[in-house]
Amino acid sequence: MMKKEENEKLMQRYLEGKLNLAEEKGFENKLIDDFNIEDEELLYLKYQKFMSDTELEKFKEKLSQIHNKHYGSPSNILKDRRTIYGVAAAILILFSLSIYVLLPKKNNSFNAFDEFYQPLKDPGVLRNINTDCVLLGKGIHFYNKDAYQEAEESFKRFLEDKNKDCFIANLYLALCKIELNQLKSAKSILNKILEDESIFFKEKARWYLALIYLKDREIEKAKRILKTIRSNKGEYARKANLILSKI
Amino acid sequence: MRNYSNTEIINGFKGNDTEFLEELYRTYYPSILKFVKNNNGKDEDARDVFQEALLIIYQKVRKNSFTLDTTFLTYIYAISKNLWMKELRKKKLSNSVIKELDEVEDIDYYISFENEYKLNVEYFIFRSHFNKLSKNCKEILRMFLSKVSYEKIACILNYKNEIVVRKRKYRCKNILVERIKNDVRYKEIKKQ
Repeated sequence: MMKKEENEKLMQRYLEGKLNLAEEKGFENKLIDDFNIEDEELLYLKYQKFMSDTELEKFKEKLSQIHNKHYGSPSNILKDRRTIYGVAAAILILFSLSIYVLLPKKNNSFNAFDEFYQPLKDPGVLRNINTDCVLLGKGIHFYNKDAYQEAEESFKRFLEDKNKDCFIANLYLALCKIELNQLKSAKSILNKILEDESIFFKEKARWYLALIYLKDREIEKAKRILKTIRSNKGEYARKANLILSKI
Repeated sequence: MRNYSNTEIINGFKGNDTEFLEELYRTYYPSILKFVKNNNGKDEDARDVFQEALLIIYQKVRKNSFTLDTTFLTYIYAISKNLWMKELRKKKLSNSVIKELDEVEDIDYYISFENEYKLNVEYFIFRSHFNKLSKNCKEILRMFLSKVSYEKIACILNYKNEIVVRKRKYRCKNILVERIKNDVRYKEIKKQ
């Protein structure tokens, strides 16, 4: 029987995927034989091992990107159908030109931010505020009362207090920054939320970030985000579609 | 066709070097595409087989079990051929005679890759089931694996207390394990 410390080290290396294939198999067999570990437990251990390893998934994504870049559209089909595509392209160009000439121009004075921006009143997943999160609760309370300066202060203190990754607090902090017209900081916080692996509040973060970009006349960036919102078909999809049709 | 050395392959894969991978892809994919299409396959099959072969090599490099003792074309062809034959057996098309590629130096070259293959299949089964969990389950398990304390998870996700989080985590874990256990692909590789 191995010593406890050795086992722990081995388990750590197993979970980090640092064992070679033979060692991995041996360790799994040992867990079953020596420690009578159940099938379910082994599965969960494997799950832990796989979930902490994102490299293989990233590698696969890279391969797909390379493939799409070089072989995205089968060239032989394109060659065979070059004439058909040529005619189709010509028709499309003519059609687009006629639409451009005939339809009224888009409203250049359309101000999406003013038309669509609303402070967040319903954070969705929030239930009763956890007693360990007094500052967070306070912040949301101030925000709901339009006391954005005080709310910002509470969220800042909450985030400093070992909670820097808290999505709700970060989102609300960004929203306070919008209200206080500190758009640059708001953008940076929202972009950070979007970079995080977390799935919570991403749609809200996208929506407010798109609105800020629109306010700052960064139209291309706004369009990119709005298209993502539209294709995600979530709570802001309809509004995103509306804005996209106007800008 | 460029010949890669053992070290070049290992460094390229380990470094996840995009330029290297692009060159490798453009150099060897056409041969595998030709092979698969010559043997009852389509473009998409060739893409899947080639990428699966590269993933196997990636796993071998990561686990320090990669040694290139032939040309890279022969090596990747050996893996791709076996993968495609496996697929043909599944499709019950394995009776037809395999049309080999002329440009491959040693068509009988053999490389063992079953362990890496199984590991990759398991990996993607686990990850796909995780992705199908509810938003809450995913987040709790993700945070738990990132060693965030129950207390902090309760705070961040606004659960009443850590006991609720423990119960949730237990439930989410069971859902995940059950789904994996019942996955046909998982049962299949367990049998092998």
